[in-house]
Amino acid sequence: MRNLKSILVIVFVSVIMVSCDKDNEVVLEPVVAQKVENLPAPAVTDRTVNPPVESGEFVKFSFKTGTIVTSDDWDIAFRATKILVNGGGSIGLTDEPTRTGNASLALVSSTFSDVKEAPAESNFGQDSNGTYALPWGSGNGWYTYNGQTNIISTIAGKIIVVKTLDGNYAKMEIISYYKDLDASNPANGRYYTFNYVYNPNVGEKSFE
Amino acid sequence: MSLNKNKKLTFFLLIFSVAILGQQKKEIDSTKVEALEPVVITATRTIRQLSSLPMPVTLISKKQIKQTGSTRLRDILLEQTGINFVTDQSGFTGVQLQGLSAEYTMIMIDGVPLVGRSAGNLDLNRISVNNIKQIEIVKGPSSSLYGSEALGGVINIITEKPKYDTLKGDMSFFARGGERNELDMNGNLMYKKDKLSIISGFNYNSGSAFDLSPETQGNTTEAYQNYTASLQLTYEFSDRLRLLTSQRYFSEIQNVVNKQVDWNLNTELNHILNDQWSFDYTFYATRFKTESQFNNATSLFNQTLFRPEIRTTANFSNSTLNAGIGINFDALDRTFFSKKETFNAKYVFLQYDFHPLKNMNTVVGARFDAHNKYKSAFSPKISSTYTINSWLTARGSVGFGFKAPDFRQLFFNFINNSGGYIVLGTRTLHELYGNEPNVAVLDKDLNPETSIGYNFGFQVKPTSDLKININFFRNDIKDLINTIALQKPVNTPVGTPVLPGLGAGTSVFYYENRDEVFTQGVELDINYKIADNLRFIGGYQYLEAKDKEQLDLINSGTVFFRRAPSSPSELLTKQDYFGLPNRSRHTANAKLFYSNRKYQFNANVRALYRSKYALFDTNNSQNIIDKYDDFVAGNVQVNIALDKTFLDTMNVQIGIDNLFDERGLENESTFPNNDAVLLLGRTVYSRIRFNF
Repeated sequence: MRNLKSILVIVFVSVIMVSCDKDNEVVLEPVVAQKVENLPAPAVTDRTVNPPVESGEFVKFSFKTGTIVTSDDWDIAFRATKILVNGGGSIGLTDEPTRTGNASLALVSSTFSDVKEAPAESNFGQDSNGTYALPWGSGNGWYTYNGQTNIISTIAGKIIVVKTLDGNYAKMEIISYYKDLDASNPANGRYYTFNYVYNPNVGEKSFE
Repeated sequence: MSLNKNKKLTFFLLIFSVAILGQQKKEIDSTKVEALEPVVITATRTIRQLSSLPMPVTLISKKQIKQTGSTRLRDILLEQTGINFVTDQSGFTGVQLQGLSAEYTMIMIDGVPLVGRSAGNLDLNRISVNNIKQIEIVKGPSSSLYGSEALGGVINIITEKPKYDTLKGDMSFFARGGERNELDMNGNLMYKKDKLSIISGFNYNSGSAFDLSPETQGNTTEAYQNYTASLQLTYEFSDRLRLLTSQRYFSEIQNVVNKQVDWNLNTELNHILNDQWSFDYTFYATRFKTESQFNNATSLFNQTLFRPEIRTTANFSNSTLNAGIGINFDALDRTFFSKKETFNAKYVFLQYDFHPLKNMNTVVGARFDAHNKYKSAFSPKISSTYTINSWLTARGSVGFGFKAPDFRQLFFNFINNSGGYIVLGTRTLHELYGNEPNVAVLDKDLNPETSIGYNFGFQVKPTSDLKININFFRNDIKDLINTIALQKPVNTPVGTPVLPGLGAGTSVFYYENRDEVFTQGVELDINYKIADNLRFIGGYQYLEAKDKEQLDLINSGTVFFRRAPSSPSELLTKQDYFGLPNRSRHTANAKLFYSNRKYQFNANVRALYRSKYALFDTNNSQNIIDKYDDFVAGNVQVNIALDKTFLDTMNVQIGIDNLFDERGLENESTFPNNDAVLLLGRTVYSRIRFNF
């Protein structure tokens, strides 16, 4: 009798689990892999003061739409080498957009394809007064600056994982800071090209 | 371009083939008296037969120097196996031995060291090779005899000394065309009568300015002229007591404004006490002084070294004992130092050379250096040869080497306003900013760099005309002193300077014991007398030079790279790691010397090869050089020379260096604005020498 009860419970639980799996499989949308080319990130730099002051509107990007947006529904924003996340507080920059959401960001050392899922929540951070979620400055975050050649190079193996406004996950790898990937002329700078993978299922950490 | 390259390679191979073909033509060995085995003094500080030595030694004879048309030490060293000339990031050029950079090789004249290094490099164009008997190169750590700087090896220039009564001299005029536009005039006089001998020499050398990259600012080499005068007097009071004094004076003016003077004076009293014991009392003094223009200001450098030393040698029936004691008084006064700095180091060394077995010779030695500014160093070494049979000898040595921190690394206070950076010696940094939180956490002092070097090899003599040497080496160096950029204290706001009182953008560099590196490889030397008048000399070195920390980093799987600037990141594996900058995996030389006794002429052709090498990390992989980085292309240089003697007194030589005009132009696009990756093209020279 007791055995039968146990068997019944096991069967019941299994059925639920199997059916749950099935449900998820049906509902899950496939991840979106995209490449953004030549996203402009202009800035005005006033070198008459020391240290120089940078100003200008940040260019906002949404992973959900995969485009530049002008609304408040942005996930990350670019101006020259600075990248902001739409979550937390103001860093204290000139012309800084107000944070409208609760997005966060993590920097992972890996190749793009080896980031198969988003890291644990504790790795994510937000902007706050004086602190960037994605550390800014040569060698600190995603790039290095060569003072002799004046070239901004992307550091290899730096993958940015973003938890978006809606709680979706996206991973991105910046591959160039120059228009048409041409670093031979500094005037080509401030144009981002990056690859990203976006999981359209809220809270789903997988990138495969 | 590639066709041209193939042609050069073919030529290189051709020399090898001639050597091999020559072998087939050779007749059966006739039993003839072999020429006297050459002897060297540097390896053990006693006179030893070259082939009997238990450590790797290269000997360059006067004949070879003459036949290759060399005027400066650099010219002749360039053609030796395992020796490279490297321009480091400081812009100075120095010698690289077994993959170790110039600061680890001691350069000596008759056993006493030259001073005056620029960022560790000693300029070997300072030394004329017109009046020398031979050059001895000991590879592997030699600190057990020579102390600091001899960590990687020793290059010792041995001057001529007459054995019998004589009066002779020579005069030569040398002119090289092309961009170098070199002129070299030399006169030597040698006299010995009874107890007195005098050797004097005078050399004038000049060259024009030339620029390998006219599109960039500044010349590759500035115009210069220099004089060297040397005088050596020996007086033999008796068979057992001899006094020698030797002096050399060198003066150079470069680009009108840069002046350099260096002199050495060595006095040696040699006293043979009895058949067993002899003593040498020496006093060596040297000064190196420069005055140069830097950022429109005059910059001075004035280094002196005084060294009293007493040595003794005891010859027993089957063994030899050497011992020595001395003090180095080293001082440097220069712009960018707050005051004149001095180092005093007392040292003692002991060496025992014996035959534990009939077929075995062993040399054990050690040296202790006690320094007034940092911790002392103990450097033991053991070397052994074992004669397996009449044609095969095995040898091996293990030794410790050390290099003391130099003045610059401790006391530098260098401010480059236009470059926006300052460099501080470790002591200076703590003296000026010791209370700053980001300085207080750093080591207050530097340790000597230390190494262990291993050399194992064989000498093979299958016939009396063929000699093959093979040597495997490894050098493990730790506490390498590196230039490090000072970090800001944590949590400082953007725009704060690294140290108080400096501009926000000013970088500060200092020195720290940090890295562990190793170099390892194998060296092969062949000396083959194809016929009585034809000799082939060839050499090859395989080299790996790597940083252990970088290896650990790669193994931890946290180093990434990009094949092209905008391709996706990939994980760097151990197989992709290339190693330290300025090291070529493969270097080789092949030389063919022909002499015709009937018509009294000599001809030779020498080919030198160096494979590709890196300068720095070009693909943003944490300063690690991998095989996807940009490399300076490998190159082959071929030099030829011909000389003929007339009436036994006049010798005329003509030669062409870099016959195929290899200029390394393919490197121009990879490394713009860098003259060090370009090569001087073809030059033609001639020399007339009179002997009387």
